[in-house]
Amino acid sequence: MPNPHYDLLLKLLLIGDSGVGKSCLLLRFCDDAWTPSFITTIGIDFKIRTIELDGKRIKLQIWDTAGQERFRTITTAYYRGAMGILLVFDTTDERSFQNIRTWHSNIEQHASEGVSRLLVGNKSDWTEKRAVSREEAQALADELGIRYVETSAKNNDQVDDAFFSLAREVKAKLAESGVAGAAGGAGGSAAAGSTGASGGNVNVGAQGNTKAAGGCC
Amino acid sequence: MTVLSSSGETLPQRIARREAAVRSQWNALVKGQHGDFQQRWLASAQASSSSSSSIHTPLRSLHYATSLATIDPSSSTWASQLKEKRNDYARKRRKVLRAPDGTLPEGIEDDPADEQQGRPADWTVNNPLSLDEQNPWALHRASMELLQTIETDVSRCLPEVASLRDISIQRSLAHLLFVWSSLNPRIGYRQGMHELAGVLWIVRESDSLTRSNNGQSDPAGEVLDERYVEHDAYAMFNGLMTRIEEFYQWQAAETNSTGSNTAPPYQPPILQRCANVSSSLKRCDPLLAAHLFSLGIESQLYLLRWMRLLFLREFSLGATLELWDVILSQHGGPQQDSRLEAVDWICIALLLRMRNRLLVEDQGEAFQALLHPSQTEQSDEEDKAEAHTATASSSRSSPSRAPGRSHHHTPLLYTQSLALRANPNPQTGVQCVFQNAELLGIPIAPPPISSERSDTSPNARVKSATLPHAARKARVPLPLTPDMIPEGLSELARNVYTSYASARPDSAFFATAQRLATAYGAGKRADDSRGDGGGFPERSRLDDLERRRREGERGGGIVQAQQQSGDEASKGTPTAPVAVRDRDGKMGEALAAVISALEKDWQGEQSLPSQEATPASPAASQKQARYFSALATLKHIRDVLTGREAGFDEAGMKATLAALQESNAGEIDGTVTLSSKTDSKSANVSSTSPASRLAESPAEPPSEAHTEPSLVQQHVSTSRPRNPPPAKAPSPTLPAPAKSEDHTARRPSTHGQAQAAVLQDSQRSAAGGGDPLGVL
Repeated sequence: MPNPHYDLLLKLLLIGDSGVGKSCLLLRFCDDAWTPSFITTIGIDFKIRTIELDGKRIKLQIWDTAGQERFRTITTAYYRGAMGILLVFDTTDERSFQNIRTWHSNIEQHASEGVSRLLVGNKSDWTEKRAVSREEAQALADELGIRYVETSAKNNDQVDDAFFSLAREVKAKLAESGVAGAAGGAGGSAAAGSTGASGGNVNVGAQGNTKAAGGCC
Repeated sequence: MTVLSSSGETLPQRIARREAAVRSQWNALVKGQHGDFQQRWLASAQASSSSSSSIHTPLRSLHYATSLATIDPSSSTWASQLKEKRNDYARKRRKVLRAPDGTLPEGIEDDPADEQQGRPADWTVNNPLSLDEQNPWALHRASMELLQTIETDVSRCLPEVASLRDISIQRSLAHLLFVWSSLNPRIGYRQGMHELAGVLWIVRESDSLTRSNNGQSDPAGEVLDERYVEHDAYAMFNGLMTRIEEFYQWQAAETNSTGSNTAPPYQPPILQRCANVSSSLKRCDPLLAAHLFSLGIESQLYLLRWMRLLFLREFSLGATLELWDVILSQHGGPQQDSRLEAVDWICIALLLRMRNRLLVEDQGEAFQALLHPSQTEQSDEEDKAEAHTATASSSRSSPSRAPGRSHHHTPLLYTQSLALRANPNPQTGVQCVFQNAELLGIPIAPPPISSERSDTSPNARVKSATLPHAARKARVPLPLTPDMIPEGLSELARNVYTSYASARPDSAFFATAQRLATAYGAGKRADDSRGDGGGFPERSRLDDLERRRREGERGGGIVQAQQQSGDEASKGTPTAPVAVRDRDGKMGEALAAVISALEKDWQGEQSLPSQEATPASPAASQKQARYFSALATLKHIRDVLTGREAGFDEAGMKATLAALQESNAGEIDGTVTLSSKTDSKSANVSSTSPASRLAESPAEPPSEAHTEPSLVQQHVSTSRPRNPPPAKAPSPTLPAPAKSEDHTARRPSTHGQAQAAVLQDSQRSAAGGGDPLGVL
């Protein structure tokens, strides 16, 4: 097995309505670029970025999906093995915000239990067209029991924070479930943390604990 | 206008030039003859496309119109056929766009002949504010919402195409899609359709003609009237969708029905098509199919886009159009392909083409490749540059045919898809892989160091010439150039090339495949009795073939990329199926290290001053000859072990060893061990352990290594005299292995220059010496 250049591999998903800027967030986060003329995502797209988090190298495998409602053709394959999900809406488009509930129920239906989630309101730079207030969004996030981040892929505002905080949450969860699966490992969470950081094998094990089918990561 | 070359022409000049090209093509292909228009057009397009941008090939819209049954090519009444379709479209458009108060969106002409102008009969029901369930406005608003969705997508459609940035054209394109989805509610509008329609729009628009006003009849101007781009593009889109509607079909009520578990879950037809591709891949390339399965990559994840957009995102626009040219007209394919199943087989051909990038350990890497297949061959920037400039690729054109015409060689995919479809088995798969190697320079086997990207060794440059993913970095154009065709195969390759250029799966394809398959068979060793892989070459086998191919291609003296340290080699073939082969490889690599160390020592001795000037003593020259022939023996064994040589030359080995024995007069004990071994698999190379020590090679010595000292050790001692003799050409009576020196030269060397001098020297003297070992 080739030496992995990372301690942990995480699969994250971007979901949300068409045109809310999922691909732009991905492009900003992975390539630090922005383009006004972004083409529609068909099916899925996929990018990778390796980040450093609390001294560990974390490889993020981020899947971007087509936002069109009917393209839920691939849901099962898409959600399989996902550890963290960014629910994205457009702060200037109320409908995309209302649809967050639909997307959320989609997660409940297809994603593995206990998957980490984050609500993301994109296009925060476009203040004059804002249609969803920060308070509204925060209220929904509270209701769903998840955190809320407002981003601007265009201005590179809070984009890294969104991905990093989700990655951190996933990592913490993996460490926790590592404890559960470690069958009385002596060191508690510290020991689990160090096992979790030791490589891909542990990652697979952790996935198993979070009920992810397929183990494709 | 759409992308035209920025040659400093004014817009009217450009339009005039474009129209002149369209008219001249019309006169050549259509005027007075209607029968086999598609054949004529394809032949003409392929003949001329090396000198013009492939996006704008005149009369492509008519090729598509006839292929998609928008017009009947056998009839000569194209203008009247189109007139009918155009009126029909205009009528439908008015119908779906008319508001309940009878008004039409701006820019759409009304026709008083429409029977119902929508004059509201009952104002209490029919008014925008009515809450009545029957209120047509509610329906209309829903429609307008759909139109808005479509407009959003259209505004993002093919951003690189200038003409599609025009707002009025975007509106027109949105209307086209809206009309179609309104009239086909079973399918409706799906993302992706907008790009297909956008492409058809561009194709039709670039054929547009201004009607001449001089009163004379102008059949070309009628058929390609610039005022009916939307109408004609609609007809083509409709024709296309009837064939690929499966890719977009989806039961709308999916989310509602999930509660009940009684009915089997609905499976959209595209998932069935994806499953078909997966199972066909299993038949054509079991190894790749199994590998993708083991990586957990489901075909639907990438095929959805490949299929829905008919490879638009996978290749440049020009290359995609070339592919569509042959797919849509089913050129040379089955007569009935109403579901465009050709697409499934092109997916297989594309997977075969990129299999080296897929046979990797890392799921992410493989997935990345699947979502960006065109990077197999070149970088995105080059891709875009190719797609959006109309530069003639004259620099690449060769006498036979310009192979640089399309960087993606998409028509070849179609040719291969036909072969795969006709014979879906591993043999055809192998043939495709060989064809890709021969025509596109894609290595038969994956690169040995798949995960290493930062190759800074001196041979990295040469390496990139043959490794697709590295080609991007090194800016080496991977498409076929005449010098990339292996020598001796070039004529054959050109034949195939010509045949693929005309997109006809004629005998040349199969002849080449046959020839290569025979070569493959010849390389197969008798002991190779495993039946796994279903006949598809395994990776180790392909490695072997690829090495030989590259050697044959380059001749001597060029850096051999493959051969690095034993460490890399063992990494390179992680799936080597048989333990013994693995062990052989390791032994070979260890032996390579020994040879390298020996040569280094020898080199150190020889590079003392006045090497060429001083006449050598007879003893020294004999010693040198002995050294070279011993080395040749070792190299032959090394090559057999690493699979570079297909067979062990027992007779040659015996002869050399006899000569050595004579010359060494009983000094060599290990010769018997070596010469008595006839089977290369069990050849006991007993000295890997000292060799490893000598070379500080990271390779693990095989367990059998700790046996008695033999040939190598003897030579380690004999080749290290305290007082090195001056260098001189070896005696011509003992052969020096010229070819095997190539291997030496292929290794990166820190003392390359001096070594090269010695090697050249020995090669010169070897020229007349024969090659009893057969290592040449």
